[in-house]
Amino acid sequence: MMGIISVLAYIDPGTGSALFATAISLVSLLYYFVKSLFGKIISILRNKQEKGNDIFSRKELVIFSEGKQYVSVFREICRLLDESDINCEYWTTDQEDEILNNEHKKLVCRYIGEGNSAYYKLNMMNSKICLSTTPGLEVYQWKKSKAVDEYIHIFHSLTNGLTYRMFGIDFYDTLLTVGEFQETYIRKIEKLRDIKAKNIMVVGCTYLDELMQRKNALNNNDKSLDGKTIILAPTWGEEALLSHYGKDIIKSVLNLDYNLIIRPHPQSLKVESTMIDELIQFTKNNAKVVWDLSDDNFDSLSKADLMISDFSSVMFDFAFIFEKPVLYVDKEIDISIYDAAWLDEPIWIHTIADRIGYPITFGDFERVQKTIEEVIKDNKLVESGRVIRDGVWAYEGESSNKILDYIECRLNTAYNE
Amino acid sequence: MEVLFRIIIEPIKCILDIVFSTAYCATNNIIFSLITLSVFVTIITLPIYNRAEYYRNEELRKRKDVEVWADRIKKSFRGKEQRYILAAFYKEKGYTPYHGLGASLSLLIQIPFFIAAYKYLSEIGEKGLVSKEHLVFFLNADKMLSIGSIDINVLPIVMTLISVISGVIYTEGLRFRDKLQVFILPVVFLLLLYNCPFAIVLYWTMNNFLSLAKNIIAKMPLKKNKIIGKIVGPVVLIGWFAFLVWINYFYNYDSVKMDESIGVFIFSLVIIALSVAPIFIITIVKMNSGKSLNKEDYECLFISELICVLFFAFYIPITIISSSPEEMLTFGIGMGEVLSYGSYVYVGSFLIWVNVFAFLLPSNIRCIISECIMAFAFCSVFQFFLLGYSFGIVTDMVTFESAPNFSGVFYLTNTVLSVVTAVLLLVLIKKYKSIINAFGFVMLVSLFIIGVVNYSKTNVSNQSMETVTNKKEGIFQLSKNEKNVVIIMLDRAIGAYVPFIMQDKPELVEKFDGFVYYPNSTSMGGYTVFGSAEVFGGYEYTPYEMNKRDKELMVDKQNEALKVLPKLFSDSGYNVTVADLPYANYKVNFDTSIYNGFEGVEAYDLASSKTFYLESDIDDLRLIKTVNISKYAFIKSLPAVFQLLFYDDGMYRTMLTRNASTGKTDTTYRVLESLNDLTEIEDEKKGNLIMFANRLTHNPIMTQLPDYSMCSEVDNSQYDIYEDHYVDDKRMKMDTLDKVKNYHCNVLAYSELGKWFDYMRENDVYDNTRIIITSDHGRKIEQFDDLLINDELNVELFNCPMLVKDFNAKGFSISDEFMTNADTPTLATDGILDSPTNPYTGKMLNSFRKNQKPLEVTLSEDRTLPKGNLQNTFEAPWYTIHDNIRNKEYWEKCIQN
Repeated sequence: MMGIISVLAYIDPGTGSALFATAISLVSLLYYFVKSLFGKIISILRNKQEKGNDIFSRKELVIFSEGKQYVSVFREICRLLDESDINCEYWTTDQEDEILNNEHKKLVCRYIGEGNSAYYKLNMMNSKICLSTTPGLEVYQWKKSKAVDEYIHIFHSLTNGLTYRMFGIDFYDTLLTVGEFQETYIRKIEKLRDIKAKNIMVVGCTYLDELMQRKNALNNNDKSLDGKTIILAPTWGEEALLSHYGKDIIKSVLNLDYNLIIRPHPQSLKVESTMIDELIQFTKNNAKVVWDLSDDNFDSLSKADLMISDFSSVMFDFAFIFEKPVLYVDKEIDISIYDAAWLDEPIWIHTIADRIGYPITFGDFERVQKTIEEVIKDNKLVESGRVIRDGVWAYEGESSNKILDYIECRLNTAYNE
Repeated sequence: MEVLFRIIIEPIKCILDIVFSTAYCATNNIIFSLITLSVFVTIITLPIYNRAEYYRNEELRKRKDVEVWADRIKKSFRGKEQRYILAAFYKEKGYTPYHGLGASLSLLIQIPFFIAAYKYLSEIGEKGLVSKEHLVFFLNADKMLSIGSIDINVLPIVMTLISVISGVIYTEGLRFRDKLQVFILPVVFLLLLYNCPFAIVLYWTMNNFLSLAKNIIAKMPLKKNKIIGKIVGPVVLIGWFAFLVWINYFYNYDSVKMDESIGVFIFSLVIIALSVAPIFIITIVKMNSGKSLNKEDYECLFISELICVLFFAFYIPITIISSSPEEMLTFGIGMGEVLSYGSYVYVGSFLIWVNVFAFLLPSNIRCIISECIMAFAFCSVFQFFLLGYSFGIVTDMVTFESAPNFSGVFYLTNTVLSVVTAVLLLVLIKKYKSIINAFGFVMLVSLFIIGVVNYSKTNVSNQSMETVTNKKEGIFQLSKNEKNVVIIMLDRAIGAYVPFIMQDKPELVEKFDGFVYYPNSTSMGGYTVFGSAEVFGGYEYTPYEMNKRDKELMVDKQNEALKVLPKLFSDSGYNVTVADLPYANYKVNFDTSIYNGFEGVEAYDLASSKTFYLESDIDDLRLIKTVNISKYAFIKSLPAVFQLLFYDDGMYRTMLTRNASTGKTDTTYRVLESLNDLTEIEDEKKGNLIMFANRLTHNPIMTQLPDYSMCSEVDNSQYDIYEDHYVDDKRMKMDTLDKVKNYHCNVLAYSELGKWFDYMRENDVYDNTRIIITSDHGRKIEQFDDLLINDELNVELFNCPMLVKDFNAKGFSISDEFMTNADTPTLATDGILDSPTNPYTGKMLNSFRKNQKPLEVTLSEDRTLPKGNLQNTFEAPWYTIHDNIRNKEYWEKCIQN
């Protein structure tokens, strides 16, 4: 017996150790195999239970939204779909999603639960097309369903497409972009990663369209705050404005005797709630400070005369829609978690930031105050902002129709069963 | 589990066996044979090794490819998200942390090769399958150095050193952790294997050395390291061969012994090299993935594999067994047992190993493999059914009664046809794969159906098969009061041996008291199929005379001849006992059924009787049958040029059956040795006719000198066994082992008969017994110059002994009278039966024919029995002879009218 054991292990130089490595790999492989087998069995059992459930019947299109924060992205599309002949459903993981609660003629809206329950349904989705603005498909728990022919991503912010966390849109089949400039960046990344090129179609930006529509409909007298108003609209994370300079920046603005609307990023409310609570406490006795924690930023944006932000895409919304000045923190941003980290070049937003806004450096708060005073009186970048807007934002006011056209075209050609 | 293990291991063991036995039998040198084995295994596993290297390099390349970003991701992300992001990244890159498993799995495939080698080499030691002097290599560690009273095993240390050196090269550029593993393992296994037998450790050491060579070669182009290439390499090589020479010296080998079979060995190596050539080609063909296999390709692969398995493991063996189940399935050896070895080998070879190789290799090679297997399957079937050549009688040991011999023209024709068929098939498969697949499927189903039909027939006939006798006494009755006649046919005994036997064992002269020896005697055919009928039926049953009755089947005439004397004597009130008579119903074992319904005739198949077999013989028989039948199936489907090479004179290139006794020699000896026990002396008023044949003289064996006795461990080292023997000035050549053994088995037979005659004398039945000793034919062995007539005709082949002792005869005398073995019935009936007449032809039984005109003798070499079942005549070159077999003038060529 000993002899046989020896033979098994002692093959030839190098091979022995390779076999030990194999044995270890096999054990771990077995562990994951058993685990995935268990998962599959559960899935099969659930599938049997759910068989016949209408949610898994074949559809032409399913729109998946994470919730109310993306209502402006999908509202118009849903309206158009409700009037079309497309067999379509709207799935959301948010019970307070406005679209879920709207009345529709044809469009079926479903709340699919949260967490694993939602992922299960998403992973079992049975549709020709799935349209979503959620990044991270096939990266996190949301996996591609074998019963979906095409996953389409639409953008919910104006970026070059590389500001998602890594690989966020890599597993989509199609990207419906805001403007032509995005394709250059996306193709560069595809080439670098040596991955299959995605379909890219420029359709414009639905939420910008909606913002513009609302802005146009806005009566200038609606503004309710007295005096000039500054909105502080940062992004979220450790490097973001509020995390880094929260109290300092608030104090600086308040020293200027302006109204201050603080609108944290929706994600901050989820993951940085302690810090936000502290700041709310810090400002609770100041009547000039308003915290906007709502889903819709339109009102705040429309009331503001100047925006202070870091590199959040909301600065584009403010500059492009309301044509008001933007101050942004001129500092190096840690982009290591984003797709942009793959490109050895300045991030896109840096390349255009100084044409739509004014850089500020924190620490030197006197200078910041001075800049605010100057810019709020005279925004010299209105024109250049318009140029930039026209260059990056295509099909203004047409995006929802363009998206619908694309979907209909795909359904009539590629997926005409 | 055991079945699965054997299916995986047996095919490899079978191949190792072929290589080792070929090398060992040719050189008789264990070290050389083990090295050959190691080189072969290295070559055969080279594609796997290359594939493993390919996977390893791919893994390294991919690892390198992902390394930078994987590190950055690990720095930028934390916790669960890090795992998600990494997984997504790996997915994009087509990399998994288990990617290295591909390389390891390829190496894993090598394990069965090592287990098979370990088991095979251990089996050689355990069963003592090599000569006694070499057995020590398989049982003991080397102990090549002694320091004081401590013996040191050098080989395991050398093996470890090689492992370490190889490890240094192999792990170059790897992490310290990987390197450490490679160095610790050899040390651990040094301890484990330190006391392993020499042969096993040498085999591994050689493997390690070759692995080192592989690693050096693999690294060289990358490193272009002149020091390794030009200095270290040759130094290692020279050192290694010096080490081998030292081992040779240590074990007192002068050099690798190259005897006359070296030619065969070199030829074998060439053939083996040609056989593994495709593997080499595969290794050098660019390893691109090419096109992936489609449904047709997979069908082609699996249908052809199934054909091969069905054909080699089932159809051919069943065909052989069903041709004579009573011979093949003796002593309770079941069909399943006989088919088992072949099933393991062929199922393992075609359904496991071909697929393992095919699927480890790139898809373009896999496609070629599938097409080649299909072509091979068709060629095999084609060869077996259409191009095949009858090898003659297949014995129950699945060997051929006489060594097959192909003519040059046949070789050429067969080779050309085989090559053309193979090429044509490859082209057809390439062009019309789906049609060929359909043909293959039809062939598969047909073979299966025919096989099952044959199998069911075998079962029926097996059930109806009469069991051979298990009696061990009272078989041969000899009357004290009445006349007894004993006819003994010693198969293939040579008459010219008798004077030498009487000289070498002078006590036999006394024992053979009353016998007249007729040196001028002949049979009319050189093989049992031609010369046995005349022994029992007389001149009406010489080949020439039987040919005249061309409306009757040969088998019927043979049966008739065997029944003439029993019928005559039993009708005349004699007790008749017959045993082991040749080719009753044209079967190798005695088919006693031809005497069914004969009153007073007892028939016994003693040679197949379990009484004379030992349990170990039966185990050996089982082993021989199962190994031989599986290899026969394969060999018969090969082109002729390979057939004789792998047939290896009935040894089928295997060590496994080397020590296995067929029991034949022992059994035939035990029958003769037991004659006293088998004999019953009676006072009955009835005469007896005893007729039996014995094949001890057909089984050359070395006996123990000086008294030519049967001995399990013969040691004749103090005798010059190759020294020619002389009686007066007449020489008997003894220059080859075959001649020596052939003579020895004859001496042994006469010695045992002498003991029986003593027993007769002691019981007062010798004088009233007429005894005739003859044979069906002699053997062309070139021991007697005076029997060589011309290039074509050697009378040794026909010189049967004629030893006749009449009632009350005294003394041992020699007569020059011209005699034939067809005189036997006349001699037997002379003076006992009045005007004996052949009950089947109505003709008088006498020997007038030999004096009327020259006798026709057939020189035919075609001794195939199955043909006799279908044919009415023998076709052959003929000679005639009269009066004196040693007179060249009296032999004349003739043709049959």
